[in-house]
Amino acid sequence: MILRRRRDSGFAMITAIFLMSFTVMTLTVLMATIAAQSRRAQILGQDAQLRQLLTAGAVFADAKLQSNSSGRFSVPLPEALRQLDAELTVEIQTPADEKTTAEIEASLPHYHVSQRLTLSRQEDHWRITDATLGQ
Amino acid sequence: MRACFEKPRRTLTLTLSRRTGRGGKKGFTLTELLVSLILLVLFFSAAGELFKSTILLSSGSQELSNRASQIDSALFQLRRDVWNSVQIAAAGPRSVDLSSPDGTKTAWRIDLGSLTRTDAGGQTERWESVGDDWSFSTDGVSLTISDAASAPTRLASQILLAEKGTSMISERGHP
Repeated sequence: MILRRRRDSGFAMITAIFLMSFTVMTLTVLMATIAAQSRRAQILGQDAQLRQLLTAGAVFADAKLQSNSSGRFSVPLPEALRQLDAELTVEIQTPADEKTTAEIEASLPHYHVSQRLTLSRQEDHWRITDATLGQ
Repeated sequence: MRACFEKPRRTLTLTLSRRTGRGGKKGFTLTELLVSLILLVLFFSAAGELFKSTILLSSGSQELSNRASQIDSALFQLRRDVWNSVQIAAAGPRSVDLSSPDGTKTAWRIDLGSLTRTDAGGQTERWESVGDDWSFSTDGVSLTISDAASAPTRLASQILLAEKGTSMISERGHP
């Protein structure tokens, strides 16, 4: 009698373990998918934010060149971006033969993008003639 | 009798399991068999559905991840091309030509369920199953990718954007 009861409870336990392992497996896959999508959305959001900063950096570099300035600058950012530890730096090479380059780097914690601009002086102002997006 | 009073549950179980049929052999009633059969069917169908869901979810998740990776890779390359464009010419909703500062052209096409990029040297790069429902449009400064499922994605040209900024400043009367 005791043996039979043990055999019955063994079957129930195996059944329960099977069902629970399927459920755990499903939940794990589901959670992993959600986490991956969430991470991807976060990265895409940061990427878009950094590209906007690169565009702002290009405007800043253009303004500096119009006033004949060169060197490395840290662009002041709005409070909301400073709170996110965002940084934007622009390094303008000294112009030679009416041409120059500017390296612009935008960064957030653990993530950064950069671009290299080539500018040439045409008539009385500087124009971007090449813009290469970096990593 | 004393034992029965001390352990009433065991006595009940004993009574049920010692049911005898014809010829004095132990057995189960038809109701018990039916109930156990129904329970088994219910269990196996639930387990089967759960197993199917697990497998489908797993393969779906893998497929989604691969597709996202393909789309990200294509968008990364397209964004780089657009970023350095001096002209964006959309010949139609499924085709766009991007001119770079050195005068070379890169063509992006959506055909037969894949996205292809052909550079000036004739080298072709293909992303399968990407761009099925995409359509291209341009406002002269940026390339907009629209699809039925999500909000449009706008890829801007840094050169054209700067030129537009300069012309807007000139239009306002500032040098």
